[in-house]
Amino acid sequence: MHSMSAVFEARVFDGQSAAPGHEQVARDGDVLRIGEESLPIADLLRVESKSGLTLHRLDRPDWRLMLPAEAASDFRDVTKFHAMTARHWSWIGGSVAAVAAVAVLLWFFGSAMLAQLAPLVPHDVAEGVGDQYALIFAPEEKQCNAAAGSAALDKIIGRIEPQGGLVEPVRVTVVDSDTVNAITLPGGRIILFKGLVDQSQTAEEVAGVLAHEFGHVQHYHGNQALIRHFGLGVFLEGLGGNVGTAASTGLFLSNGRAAEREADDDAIKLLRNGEVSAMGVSDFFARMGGTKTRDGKPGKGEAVDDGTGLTDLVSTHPGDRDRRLRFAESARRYTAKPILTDREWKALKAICAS
Amino acid sequence: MQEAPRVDFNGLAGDFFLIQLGNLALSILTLGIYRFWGKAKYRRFLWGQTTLDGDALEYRGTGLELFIGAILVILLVSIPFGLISLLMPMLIADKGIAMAITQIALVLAIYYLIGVGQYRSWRYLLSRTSWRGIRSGMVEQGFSFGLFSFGLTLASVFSVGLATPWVMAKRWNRLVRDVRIGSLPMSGEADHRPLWKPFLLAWGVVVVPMIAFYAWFFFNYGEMFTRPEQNPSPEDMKQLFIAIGILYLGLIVLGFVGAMLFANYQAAYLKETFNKTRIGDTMALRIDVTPWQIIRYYLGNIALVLFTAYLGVILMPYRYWAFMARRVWIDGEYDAATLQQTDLAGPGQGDGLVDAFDVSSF
Repeated sequence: MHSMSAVFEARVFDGQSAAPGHEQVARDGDVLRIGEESLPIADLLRVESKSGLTLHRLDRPDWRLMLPAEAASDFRDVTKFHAMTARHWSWIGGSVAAVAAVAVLLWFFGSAMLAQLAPLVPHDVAEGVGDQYALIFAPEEKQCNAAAGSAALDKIIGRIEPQGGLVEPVRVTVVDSDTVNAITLPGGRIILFKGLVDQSQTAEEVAGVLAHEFGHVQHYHGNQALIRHFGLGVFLEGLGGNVGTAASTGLFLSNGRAAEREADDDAIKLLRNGEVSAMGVSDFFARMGGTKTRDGKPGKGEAVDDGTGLTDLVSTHPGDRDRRLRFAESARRYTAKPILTDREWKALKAICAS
Repeated sequence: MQEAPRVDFNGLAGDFFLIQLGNLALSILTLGIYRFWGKAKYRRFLWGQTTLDGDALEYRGTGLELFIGAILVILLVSIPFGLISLLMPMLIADKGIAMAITQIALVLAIYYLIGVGQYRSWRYLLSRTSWRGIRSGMVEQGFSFGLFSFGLTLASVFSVGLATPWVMAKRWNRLVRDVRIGSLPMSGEADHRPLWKPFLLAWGVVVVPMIAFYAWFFFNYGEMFTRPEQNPSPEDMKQLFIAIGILYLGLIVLGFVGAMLFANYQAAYLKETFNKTRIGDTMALRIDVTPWQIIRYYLGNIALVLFTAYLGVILMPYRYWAFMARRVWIDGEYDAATLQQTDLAGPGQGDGLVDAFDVSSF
């Protein structure tokens, strides 16, 4: 049973030259007759446009047959060039499922995975990165090393450092700056801004802040930030443009609050073991919050993660008196011994005077 | 011999917008991964709506190729770059020097890779473009062009941009020299000399007054910045704010005049490069463009983004393609029988390197 189509004038390009061959073309059931030649319809692909119908051959990718637009209706069953096949859809479906699976994994287990991975970063690598950041915050000429002040600082560190030291050797650098803050960088590097010492009324306040930073060191929070940034960031940003960036910085990575709590837990332990009063941090947070919030609510010291992985000790979010109260609560449970003499405290305050 | 094919573009912005809306939706749903397939899709539309002598151009690239290109860039560029900036400080004791060396090395590598990426983008697009079954291509891989372009970039940097006309003409000629349209070679003989007048006009009118502006400002008010501990009086502050206002106003006026003059230069550049480019022995490109058309093109782009809450940005590839395709002509005549298939094979993956540095316009 043959159903011959109408005969069309067509141009054939053989894929070798731009000069057309002119042929009479007709469809005959499952074959296409081109002059004397016959081609199986199954070996063809079609592209339709306003100006006409173009047929491609699977076996000769550069070959083209161009038919007038009225021929299009006789070839509607031919597979479209660039048509989405079931294989394409399974690829796209598979990719989307994989991405979704990774997103779900990160959402639920992201921070647990980070916590597992962070200690695996070699100390030298972490320290190399920490040193680079340290140069930005504390350039050589702004570091404070007055002898008596450094000795006082070492004494504080000695009191709160646990037996056998922290998981990484720590280096505390004091930088001459009005900023009231302290930050922990990868590789156990801690930057203590002089403004924080200036605003502290007792050595216990400085000790409490350092104990909190030691907590970040104990949990490798700096390394966690490093892995986020280099691991996930590079991959997602490379792949997905802006969407990836948003995903990597926003969604599953903002566990800053949890990290601050972990650091606080450690700080409370370190202070207790060193018999240093935890009331200092509590007072410090209360004062900082009191001077900075406009609504007059006392007490804060909520930490924020600014996305760079550098955690701020002090910021001015309202609320969260919990933190302050936890330190105060702990302070009541043990008797503390003074940490510095008046003289040593004055020396620490003058650590930037050379 | 017959007349060289006539270039036409009949694509409708509305159709393109609908394609891009779909692409945008799917890109969001797939965390951005679909955008490679979306790009292939809109390119297919732009090419398909562009005809030479009534026969449409064909875009034969696929989303998968672009996707693989992007993965390759991550593996070959992003990750090594990350590792270098991580490891260099470990190998060199002095951290300051290590940081400086790393920064310089990375900047130089990026200058080089931008050239490689530009070449490979042309190479990819040409190899995936065919007309009547005849493909195009570039003869090399792009690494030697990368070096050539690197030299030009340095010349540009060290001349504070003054060498730009010479650099741009050189770069164009070198790129075009490697193009093959089927079997026909292209050649470019763009001359930098006609570009100097419009370029120096823009440079002189913008850069010189800008330096003068800043000099005036710092000569009069610089002291207030260098010695902030001497609290300035309210009267001083008032004067300072007026001066900053004048400075900004001046920069806006300069920016506006500068954009006009830059469009003037760009029109001269497009004409010089296109009109001195030949295809084979018998055909030449031509572009009909005026500075005013370029200004309207840019103003249109700005309006499109501003008045659509940024959504209009998805139309940019269309605007660029349409602007060029409607103004480019092929002069001369050719013999269809001598326009043969190229013997160049296309590259195996997409233009990921350019995607990474974002220098491709469509």
